[in-house]
Amino acid sequence: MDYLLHVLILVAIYGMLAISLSISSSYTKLISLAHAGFCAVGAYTSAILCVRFGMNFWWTLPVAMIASGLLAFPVAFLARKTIDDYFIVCTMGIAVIITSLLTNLTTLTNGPLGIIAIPSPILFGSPISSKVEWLCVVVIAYLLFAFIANNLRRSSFGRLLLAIGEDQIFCESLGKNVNLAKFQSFLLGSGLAALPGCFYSSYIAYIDPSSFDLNDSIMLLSIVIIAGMDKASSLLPAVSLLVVLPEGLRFIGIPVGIAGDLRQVLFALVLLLVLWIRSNRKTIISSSC
Amino acid sequence: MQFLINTLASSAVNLMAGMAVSLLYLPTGCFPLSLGFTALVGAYAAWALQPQVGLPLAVAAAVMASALMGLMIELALLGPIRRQSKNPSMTLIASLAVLTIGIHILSIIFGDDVKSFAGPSNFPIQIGTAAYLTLPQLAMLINASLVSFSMFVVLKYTASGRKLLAVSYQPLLARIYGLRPERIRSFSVMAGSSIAGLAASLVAWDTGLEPGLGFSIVVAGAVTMIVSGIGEPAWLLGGAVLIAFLNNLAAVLLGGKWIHAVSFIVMILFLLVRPLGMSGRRLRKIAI
Repeated sequence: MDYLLHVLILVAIYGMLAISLSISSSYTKLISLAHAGFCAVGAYTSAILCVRFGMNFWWTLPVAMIASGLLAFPVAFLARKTIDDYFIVCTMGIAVIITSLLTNLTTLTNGPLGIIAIPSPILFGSPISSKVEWLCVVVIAYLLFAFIANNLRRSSFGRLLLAIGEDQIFCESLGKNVNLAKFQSFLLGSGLAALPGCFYSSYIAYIDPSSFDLNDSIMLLSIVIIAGMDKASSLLPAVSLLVVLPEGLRFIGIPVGIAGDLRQVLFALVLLLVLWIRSNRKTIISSSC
Repeated sequence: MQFLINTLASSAVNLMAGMAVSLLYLPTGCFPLSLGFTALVGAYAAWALQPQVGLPLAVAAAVMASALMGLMIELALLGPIRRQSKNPSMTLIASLAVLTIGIHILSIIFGDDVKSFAGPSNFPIQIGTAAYLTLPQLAMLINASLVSFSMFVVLKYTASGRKLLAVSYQPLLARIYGLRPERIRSFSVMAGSSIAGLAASLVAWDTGLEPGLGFSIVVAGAVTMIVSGIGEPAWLLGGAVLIAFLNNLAAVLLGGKWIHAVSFIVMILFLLVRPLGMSGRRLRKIAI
């Protein structure tokens, strides 16, 4: 039962991450491979503030969002200069740079050893200890994310983002500030990515740089693409598929040494398969820039 | 002096990787991240064959293995996805998926440990008082010179090179003129993949072989191409030397772990300040 709850908690956390990624990737078609990096910044900010400064977990959330947003600022600026595959390669670079910083700034992040004994959040006077409590917290947070994404989609700003994703030049011809809207959507998505990072670090009670590397960004992107770049409603089934699928490896006797590699092969294979099928059906999104 | 030798050897690798990425990027219009996997296939082929057939034949086999793998990926996966989606981002993601699958499968088969080539590999040639040039480094310099000279001549002075440029800049017009873009693209992919296989084999001979080498090669190639400016092979040398110099400087001052990060920082700075690279030239629209 504990294991099932653990998987559900992970689904909710990855669901939040997928929603935050979809704000930039699905709406304005700014496909980012640095999303796990922004999540890492949030996770490390929260962990460092909790462990070293004894700050209350809930107060670390806005600080983590600001830290992640500050890092996303120059990347969002890059989105004005680059399009399509150039932007993706840039975000891949950002992901590598963030991993390097987390690994090598040992005085701040403890390097490859990571940060241990991250305390649980205090809720109603006592720390969250059981998995049921954790599940309640992350499900509420997930619903909040879904509510924000849903309202954003229906707002005038959200409709502008969707329109930019469909036809950027048309939006410019209407006098819309396309660059500013792309900038804001990327900052919003990256800032929100910090929150699931905070929950993850506090739930697992340990983080290291390998928890948020390029492979995790690929997994997140796989979720958004599998769900359909313009279908926020199908994010949860896609998250469930990609979180549960590798868990199945535990039950078929795969040696631990190759389970991690096999997990990545599975993600990439599913992604490739979806791209292949969609390209053959000619239903994939058309270029917007 | 040793710093200079190491920078030159790294420049040679960057130059070969940059040429490989350019040869795939020019006709396809998409970053060929899967090149990291094709390069790795070549390097592992060289490592596996070297004890039986000797190093020169093993490297020749590696070049062929990479070319064939590159062609297979292009014809079976990336080509169809690119034709149907018309969106470079989707092709790039497919290419990234191929790289991920390839690297992790090779990791499962061969393990993550560093493999060394059998026999005497690092015969150091003393230069000056305390500097050494190893045999693999010498091979990198010779091969990079030969390959870059050949590429320069082919692109500038042969009909095949002009056809490749024509297909790269104006595929529709090239087709109207009777060229066959798919065929030219395939040849270009094979040439680029074989150069990547050669570069990866030589690096593996020098520093050892592990699955992460594929990513290093494709990063070196992509960064060199962007910094140099696309479509100008002569500028690749300048970009390759600049990246190699900064990487080696970072390795000396900060440590080897920062090499990838430094490469990407340079690339991002170039994209912000000088998006068209060192050459500063836009792609020509008509090359026929």
